[in-house]
Amino acid sequence: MSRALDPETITALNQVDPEAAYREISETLAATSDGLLEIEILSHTLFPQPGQFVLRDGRAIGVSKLGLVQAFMFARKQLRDHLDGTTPPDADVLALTGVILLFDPEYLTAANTRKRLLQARISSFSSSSAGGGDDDVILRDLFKKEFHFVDTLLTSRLHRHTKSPTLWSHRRWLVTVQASRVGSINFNADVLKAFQDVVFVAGERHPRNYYAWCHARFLVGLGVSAASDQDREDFRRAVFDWCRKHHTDISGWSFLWFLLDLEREIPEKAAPRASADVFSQVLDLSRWMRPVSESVWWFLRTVAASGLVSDILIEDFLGVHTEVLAKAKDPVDQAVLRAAVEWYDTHRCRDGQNIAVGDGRDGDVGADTSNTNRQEG
Amino acid sequence: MAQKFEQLPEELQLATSAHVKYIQSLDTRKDEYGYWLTEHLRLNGLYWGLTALHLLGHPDALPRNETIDFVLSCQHDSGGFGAAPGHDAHMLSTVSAVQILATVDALDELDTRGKGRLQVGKFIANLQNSETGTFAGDEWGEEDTRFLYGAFNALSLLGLLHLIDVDKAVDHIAACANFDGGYGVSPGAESHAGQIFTCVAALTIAGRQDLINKERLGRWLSERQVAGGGLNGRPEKKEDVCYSWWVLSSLEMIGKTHWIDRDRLAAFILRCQDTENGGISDRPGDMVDVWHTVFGIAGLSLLKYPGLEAVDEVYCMPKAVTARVLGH
Repeated sequence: MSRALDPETITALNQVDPEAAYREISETLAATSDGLLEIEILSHTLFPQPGQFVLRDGRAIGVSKLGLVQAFMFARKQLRDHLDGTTPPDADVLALTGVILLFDPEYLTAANTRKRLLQARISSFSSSSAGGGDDDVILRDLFKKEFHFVDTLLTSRLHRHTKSPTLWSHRRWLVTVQASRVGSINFNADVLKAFQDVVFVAGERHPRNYYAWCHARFLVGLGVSAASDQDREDFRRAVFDWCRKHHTDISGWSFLWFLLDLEREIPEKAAPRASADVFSQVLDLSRWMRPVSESVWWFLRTVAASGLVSDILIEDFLGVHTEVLAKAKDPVDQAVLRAAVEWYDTHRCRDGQNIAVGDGRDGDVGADTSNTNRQEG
Repeated sequence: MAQKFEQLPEELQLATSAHVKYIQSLDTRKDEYGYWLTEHLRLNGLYWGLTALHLLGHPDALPRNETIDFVLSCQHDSGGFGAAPGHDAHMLSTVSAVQILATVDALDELDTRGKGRLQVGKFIANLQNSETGTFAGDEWGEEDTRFLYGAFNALSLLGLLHLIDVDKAVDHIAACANFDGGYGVSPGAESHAGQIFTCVAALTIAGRQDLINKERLGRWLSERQVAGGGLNGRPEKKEDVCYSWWVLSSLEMIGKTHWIDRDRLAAFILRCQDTENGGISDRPGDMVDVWHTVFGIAGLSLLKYPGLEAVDEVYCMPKAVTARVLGH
């Protein structure tokens, strides 16, 4: 939702009761549901009844844009008063910050205030002398509700929320705190599930979702030591599957490369086989893709040059390249293909070479070829 | 290489006075909604607007005293700055605060009226991860090379780089270098033009460009130019004016701006203007905002568009300012 308002909107806004809008929207956000809510922000023309700001159909929630703006104005002031200490301390901070973040996920102070509150509640359980089962239930419920809130926003059809670094950071914090309380990670329950429910969905809702895939790497870092060989293979397959379905998404391919590169550090034989399998499957796919996907060829040239695949597969790579180039009519496609092989040839690992960059090389090698890229059209 | 700006059609000239008026209008509290809806970005927005005005040659278009007053009103006892009064302190708004004060030549007010230069430096330095060398944005721990760059930017302007472990931070950036030539938010992250800017600029401030594989990086950056002449931030993304800054300044820092077609980039940026009401948008026809306005103008400055003040490609501030502060 854009932050700028036109004059007609401002006129319409003045007819909305801010507190009423806040009550209805915050209550909707707080209501429990099986599974994540699916929130959309809708034009006020879809709300014929004055004083109605939410439409609900099961888990699908439509929030009036005008209602949300006024609810934000109300919540912002209330939160300010709470932080300044000018109102009694029993303000429903989660409700206030929930509405604020629904309006604008980059409202940092709201996200931080939530963390402060949660941290205080979590700490009170740690130091509680009662301890035991009841506390665990309450804590689990606390985490569950907060994941429900942040994951609802991250998987929504709200364009800014799904990619919000503030929200993804909030999730990272939540995962870290929960992990330190629980003390152990279960790869399937904690990592794979988060991918299926949150990362893959957010990655689809907002293509090339940089921060979603940063979170993906964070989750892998947290849980990879708890993963069995089979877990890792299943996971790789799930990621590859996602990439196939979103083949123009560089973030997916970049993450798959990250996984293959990670396997390099594992001394078992599984590593080269994983790369070989994935690489040859992607090569097969690339034969029929029209137009040629720059992201797919980024992946192919990177893996080809990395030393992760055998000479036989390199031959295949060059062969497929020739085949696809011969059929390519669009100059843009041709440029991507030529660039892929040029890049591979310039940067491929020679025997024993470390692929780490920063070797301090400087020079204009490749300048001319670079200038021929993307200059057509 | 001569830029052919004078040969561009009328509608592709820089609408300087419209842009100045647009930025000035952001400072007025015309309606309460507009003010409050963006309050949590105010200090960053002020840095973007002020920098654009300076580059446009209108450094006095915003009132200096009120600017300083506002900046100082955002400061916490910790020395850090929030985006607006009462908003939580964060690296990004703290860096904006330092950049704004440097630009209006008021860094000394940090000592006379603020919590002291050193306190700002300490706030920033405390955010360094002593193990990995990178920086968090605030106490909640999000780590991102943007914050590392911010720390280098602000601390060098304050003359306080010695408060942090520069070598460790440099090692961290080196670890963020990817096989494809780019850099990401942390080691192993996806290459991204914005993150590349932060890493290259930080290495430049530290005098460690020797760690950059300029050929491979230049190649990655040059592939960001699309058919329309604009630049994107990653493969298969749409062109966006803000990448005219992140990509172009990175190329400038490694001496490879000639690896893209600069004429077509300039024409693209100029097409993104709202020449009537002022401001620049991400791509032609979209709504303008001050973020795209400053980066579009900064890009044109790097491309030597006539009449613009020179921009410092490392700091995204007027060169005259960084020269004054850093004693170049």
